[in-house]
Amino acid sequence: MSALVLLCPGVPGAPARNEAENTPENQELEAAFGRAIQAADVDDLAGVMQGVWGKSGATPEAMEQFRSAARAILNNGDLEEEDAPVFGRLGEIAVPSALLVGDADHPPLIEANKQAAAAIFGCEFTMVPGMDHLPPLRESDLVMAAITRTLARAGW
Amino acid sequence: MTDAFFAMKAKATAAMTVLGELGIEYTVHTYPHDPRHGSYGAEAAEALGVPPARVFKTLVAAVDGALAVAVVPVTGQLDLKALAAAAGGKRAAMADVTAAERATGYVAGGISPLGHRKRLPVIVDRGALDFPTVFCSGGRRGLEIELSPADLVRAAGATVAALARL
Repeated sequence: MSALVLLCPGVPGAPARNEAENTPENQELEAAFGRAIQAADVDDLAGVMQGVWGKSGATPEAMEQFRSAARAILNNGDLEEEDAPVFGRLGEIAVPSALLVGDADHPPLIEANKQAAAAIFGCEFTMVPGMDHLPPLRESDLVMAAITRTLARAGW
Repeated sequence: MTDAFFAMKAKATAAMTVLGELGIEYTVHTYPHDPRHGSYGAEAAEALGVPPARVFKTLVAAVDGALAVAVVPVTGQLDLKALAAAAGGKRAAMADVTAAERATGYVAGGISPLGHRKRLPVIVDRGALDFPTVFCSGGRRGLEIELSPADLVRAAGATVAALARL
């Protein structure tokens, strides 16, 4: 691996509290999430996901991504496995790296991403205003620029 | 908030949790639920490619006003008189959907015979014992669990009776 560009990654094991705040709004979202899963309602499930991860807007492209993710959730059965905690190993990354996250992403994930970028030596951290959890859809030019820039640092 | 919600993952259903706690072996089968399909049970049999006689639907009825759960093959109809007798009552009628969902904790079309929110009597049709394994809802639409009929009866704390009119 010559370089690493991370787009709003999940960071298992990060010290940031990895739970959404227990607000009435989030409680309602969680209840709707449970109902949509039980009913196997792809559109409802996509709608809940958009409320958490797609705050930059329910565009047709974004909703199709969420529907695709919803179908995957519903078809996982019992195959889903816990992600291994990797935060403690981020210091082992020894290639040019960059991490992008948007300030409209899920707040606990933003915190975990800040901590991850700080734990990777020389990582270029970019907080993108107004961007949610769908960087390639929302800010494709910024994503491409980050890839190009990071590869250049790796001598490409 | 739960980790499953944060990660947008489907957590194990109450039915799967019960089976896990009892150490019962089972297999999970998923398929894309089509809301246009007229029958949840027949849809499961078609989607999984298994004989419908091995796929069991979970029906909630009111026996003398108290809810009871009947597990019958999708090829059959629930004999309400037989259910009433098996549950030690006189009269049985299909339960109101909202009451069934509230008592079981599942949505209609995804009601499992296992892991109910309230403790309900469960009666499994005798025909289940004819097969090495049977299929029943795992607790949501598009999710079936396959297990031995003996394990189904044990996990549900069920009694066995002839309930189905084929």
